[in-house]
Amino acid sequence: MTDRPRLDFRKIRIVFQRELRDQLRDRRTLFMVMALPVLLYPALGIGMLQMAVVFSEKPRTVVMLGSASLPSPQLVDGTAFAPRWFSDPDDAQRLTVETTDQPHTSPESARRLSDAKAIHKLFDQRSQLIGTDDPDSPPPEKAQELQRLNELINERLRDAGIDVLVVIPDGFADSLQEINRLIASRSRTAEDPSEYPRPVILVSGDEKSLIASRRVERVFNSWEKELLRLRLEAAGLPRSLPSPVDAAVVKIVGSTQESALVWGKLYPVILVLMTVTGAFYPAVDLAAGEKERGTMETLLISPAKRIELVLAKFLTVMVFSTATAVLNLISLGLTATYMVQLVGSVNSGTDVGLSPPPTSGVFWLLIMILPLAAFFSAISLALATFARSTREGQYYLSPLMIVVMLLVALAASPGVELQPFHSVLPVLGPILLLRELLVNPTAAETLAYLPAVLGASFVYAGLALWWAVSQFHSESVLFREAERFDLRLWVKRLWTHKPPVPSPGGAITCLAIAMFGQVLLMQPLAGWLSSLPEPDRAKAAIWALVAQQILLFLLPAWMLTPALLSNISRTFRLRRVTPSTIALAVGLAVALHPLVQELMRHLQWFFPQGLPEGSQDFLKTMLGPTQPAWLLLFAVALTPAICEEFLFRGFVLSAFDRPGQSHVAVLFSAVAFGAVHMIPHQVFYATLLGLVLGLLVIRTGSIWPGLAFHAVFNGIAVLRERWDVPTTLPAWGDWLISNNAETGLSYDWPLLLIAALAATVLLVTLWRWPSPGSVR
Amino acid sequence: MIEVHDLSKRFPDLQQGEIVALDGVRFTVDPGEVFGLLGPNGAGKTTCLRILSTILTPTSGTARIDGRDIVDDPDGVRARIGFLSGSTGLYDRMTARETVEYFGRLYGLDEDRLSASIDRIFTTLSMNEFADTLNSRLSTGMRQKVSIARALVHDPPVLIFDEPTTGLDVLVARAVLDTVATLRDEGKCIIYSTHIMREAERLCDRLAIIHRGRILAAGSQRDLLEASEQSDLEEHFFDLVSQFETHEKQHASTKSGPDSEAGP
Repeated sequence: MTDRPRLDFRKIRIVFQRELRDQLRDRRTLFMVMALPVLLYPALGIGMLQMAVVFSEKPRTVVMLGSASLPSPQLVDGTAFAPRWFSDPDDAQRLTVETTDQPHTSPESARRLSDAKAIHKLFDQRSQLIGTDDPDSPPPEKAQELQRLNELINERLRDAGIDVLVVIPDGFADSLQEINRLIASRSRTAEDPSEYPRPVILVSGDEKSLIASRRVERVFNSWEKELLRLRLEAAGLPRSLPSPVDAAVVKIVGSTQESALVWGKLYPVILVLMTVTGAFYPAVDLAAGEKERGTMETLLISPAKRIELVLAKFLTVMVFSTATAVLNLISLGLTATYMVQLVGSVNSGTDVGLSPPPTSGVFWLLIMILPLAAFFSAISLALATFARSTREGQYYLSPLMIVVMLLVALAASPGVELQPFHSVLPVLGPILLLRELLVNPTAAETLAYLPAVLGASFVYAGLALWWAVSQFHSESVLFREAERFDLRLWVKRLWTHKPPVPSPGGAITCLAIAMFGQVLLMQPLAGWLSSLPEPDRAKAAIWALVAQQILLFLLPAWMLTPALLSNISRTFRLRRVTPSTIALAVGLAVALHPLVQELMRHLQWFFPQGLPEGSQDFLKTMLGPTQPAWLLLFAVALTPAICEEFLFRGFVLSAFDRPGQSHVAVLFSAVAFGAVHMIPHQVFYATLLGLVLGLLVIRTGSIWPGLAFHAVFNGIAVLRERWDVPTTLPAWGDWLISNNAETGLSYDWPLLLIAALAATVLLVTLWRWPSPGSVR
Repeated sequence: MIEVHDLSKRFPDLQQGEIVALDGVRFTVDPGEVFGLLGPNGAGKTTCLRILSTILTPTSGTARIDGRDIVDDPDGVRARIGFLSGSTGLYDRMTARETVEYFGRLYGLDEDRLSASIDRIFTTLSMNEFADTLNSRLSTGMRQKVSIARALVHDPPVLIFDEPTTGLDVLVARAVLDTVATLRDEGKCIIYSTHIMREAERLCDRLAIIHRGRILAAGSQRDLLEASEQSDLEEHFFDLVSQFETHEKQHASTKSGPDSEAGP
């Protein structure tokens, strides 16, 4: 299909208007986009309020034995702790206290009191059993008995309906008074007066009882503080006696910032989820639904170009994605505000920190909806176009959601911060930027990321859109009938109908083997290396590298080839070339090496620290001058040149190389080549070189120049690392390279200029090379 | 007006490796004539018509419609044809009038021409009483009328009908056939595919009998019948198909490819 590139915006508008109206007439879409957010959040809010009311009402039961021995000030007031011991006096209602000296006791509480006494006896038994041992690790002969007692006490507490049992020892008030007197009179005694029986707070392991017991503990703490204050006062001692340091922890957070922190975490997540949902359902209806209802054919014979149709559909999906996100945010914001007011009026003074973001925050929320909506709309449309039916389309939502949720979770993890590399990742960049902007909307260093985040997001959206357009041009996708997939037939066909060169599916299988193999081998390999004695380690690592290259890259490509393909020499482009072609490849490697080296040095700030320091040191010793040069050249230059070239510039490149689309093949093989390198800065580096290598192989029609380039390029890197450069260079070298003790070897601009000129000439020559055409 | 040169189309297929849906098809159609493509299901009729309406691209060969090449100028071709098949769907959430208006606008009609065209077509096809009903509430016959109106709204010189009577009752099918005849009399260049002999006999000035992607015979009804000893088109059709099958079998046993029988 050779559509002329000029777009007719009138047609896009007509299709867009129809799609929009069609979606607005669809009850399901309206429900997902409009009704759900408008109703969901208020309903959830009301539900939560009601739950809070229902669940907070039931007071827990505290039984107190020996309340007669309580010293003043008064701890228990009637059937509750005195409100003054609570930070919020209303909390006193949440605990009912039953004591032996309450006059009006109900039959249940009388029964509970007698149960409490029995439990107290069991507890005494337990104390005697333990004696001076540690109850958490009792001696073996006592362990069984202790276990039995613990279970018994626990069970009795639960059966009796006692959440917390407090035992005040007899004569507790007198003991305290005696000590107070001793302290006041400053008289010394032979023994430490602290040795007197203390109150015990007994609690079962039940969740609700534990909450009650924490409340009781807090009451006892504040009561104890007051007792201490009185003691010091009576003794004429300063109040600061027990707390000579008492460091103040001061949290300097403005009220808007505090709420911004909550918003910063919550809203990006909502934004992402809602832009996905808002995009996905309309997209499925607009693409897969159109196929299902048989209207796709009608639309395709209309005079609108396919790219115009895709753009119109994309705009429609984007409108719904944006609308869903905006409506959700408004509804959530209003509900949250209302809830805060409601809670605030009941419970004044405690700021929940959920008040809506400031105007600037709202502004940034609205701005960041656009890249997210654009990205998800394009992805959803492409997936939905691929699907045969709306049902199949909806199956694709879950994997998409899982990937998105992983990215959201990654963005929420505390270690992940906004930095150059993260800012250009899809989804992650916008979330991180938004989080920062909600906290501090005007920080210059945050705003500096805005162009990168928006630019990258729109590039990803553009790529996804391009995918959707190419789907619309694919006959096999548009007219995929519901053919049944038969595994047996399929396998048989792989054998009987071997294509000359690999299919994209075969290439992806090969890449998956390489990727998973790397991930799987990483852990055992590291374990094996660390088990070796130090001096052997570096050499073993080098051989492991060679083995890994052969096993994961070369072997899958070579094994799959005879099984799946009929033309090995065409797949791997084993075409002979003239020495001058090889010379061009070598020259290009020599010219590009210093340029790439300097580029990476200047881009270091951009990438997150890839490897932990230990691994970096290990890499240095592994590739350092202690190893023989031939071994390093073999392992780092020759082996990767062979293995990686046969996989990436052989198998993968041929799989995607179609007439007139060789640039796609070069791009894909370069990205795949980058991806297997795993560490971000190496991914970038390898992708860059992959582009050059792909061009080299496609233009010359032979893998050998690629191999030569790769070997020479890596070889230079190895030799450069080993070259013991004198710190003072002869005059001729001084303006080409400089050797700094701190920054190491670097290339000076005259050398870079020469290299750049040479590289340009060679690349232009290569670009104009008469291409031998596609492998197909 | 329609010139088809050696059109071929191959699809990849799981079971057979490759399906040859169309194999060197060639024919021409003039204005004011109905050209019939007669063949059983799976003969390649739909593939051929989809290629002519630029939904599919040919593997080899090409065709010109009203002077436009289907490969080089698909947009120009689409603007000059009206396409209707038995399986074309309609948007359920649009009314008949909205549907036709939508496609009219896509064809670049201005509002005056559009409303004039709609008035004329809706009156001819007696569609006015359900013009503002949602398509989802229409009967099959009414829906096919909407599809016809949709295909005719821009008054194209070339019309492509792909089994347009599939699933229609006798009355509606007859109305469709009458419409096609009227259009022919208006001087349109029409290509009409069907597997129903009676439709072909009634409507088509010239026919091509297509089977397994190849044209077995072509010409006017009289030419076809004169060439064979049969008195009736259906018998002739069966003869051709069975001859072809025997021929194929013989060739398969001697392991050589059959040579294609040429059209006009």
